[in-house]
Amino acid sequence: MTVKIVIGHRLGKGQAVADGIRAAGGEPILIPGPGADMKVGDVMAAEGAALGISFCGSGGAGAVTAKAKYGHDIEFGMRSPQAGITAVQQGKTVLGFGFLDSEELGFKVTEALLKKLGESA
Amino acid sequence: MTDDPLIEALTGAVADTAEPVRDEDRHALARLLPLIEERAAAERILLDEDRRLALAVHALGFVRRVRAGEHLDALDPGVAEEITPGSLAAARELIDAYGTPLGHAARDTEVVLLALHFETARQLQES
Repeated sequence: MTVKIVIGHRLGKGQAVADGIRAAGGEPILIPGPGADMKVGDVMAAEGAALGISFCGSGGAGAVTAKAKYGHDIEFGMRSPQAGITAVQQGKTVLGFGFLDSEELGFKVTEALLKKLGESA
Repeated sequence: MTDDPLIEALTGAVADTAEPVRDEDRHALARLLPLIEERAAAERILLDEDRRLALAVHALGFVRRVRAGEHLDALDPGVAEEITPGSLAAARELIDAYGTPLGHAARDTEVVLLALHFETARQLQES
């Protein structure tokens, strides 16, 4: 079974993160268009995704909205792949970053998620 | 605790994160959030609950950056081109109204990011 990870970027980017997710064996769902960070919770629910990654300036808007609407455990204001790994290990399901569209981020977070899901299976 | 339901909603939303809302954040937000509400009203932007919370968490990040003297990296110049000069000027005025008395000279990135929040709210309102 593939693990779906939703990406929402305020400026409509996120392609590099998506490439990293794919390279690590996950299935990225990249929400198109500006303001996509605010739709992460909605798309996660529609797609049955295991994780959402939201990007905006302060790294919190999409994550907090997903928490308010869907009750996700979130981390926000993150600025490094390592912070994302830690959040996944803690069981957070929506991660809020500043503008950090990198393949490394997608790869490492997916790797951590697959490991976490494998442990709990 | 404050009397502001928005600050309380934000506090609840980030309570279980590595950076929960602290008293110093509450005091800062109690100064900044009314400026944001005034600006939205002046531009006739209706903020729904989601947009208000999104702006509040952005504001939380900003007041923390001001306190720490941090600045965000510059954005792609194309981003600012999508925002009207009037919106940028209004966002600059708001940012400086908060930051200048605290000795913080905010860079254009802060202005653009705040203006983007207003722009998104405006587009949602018109769609």
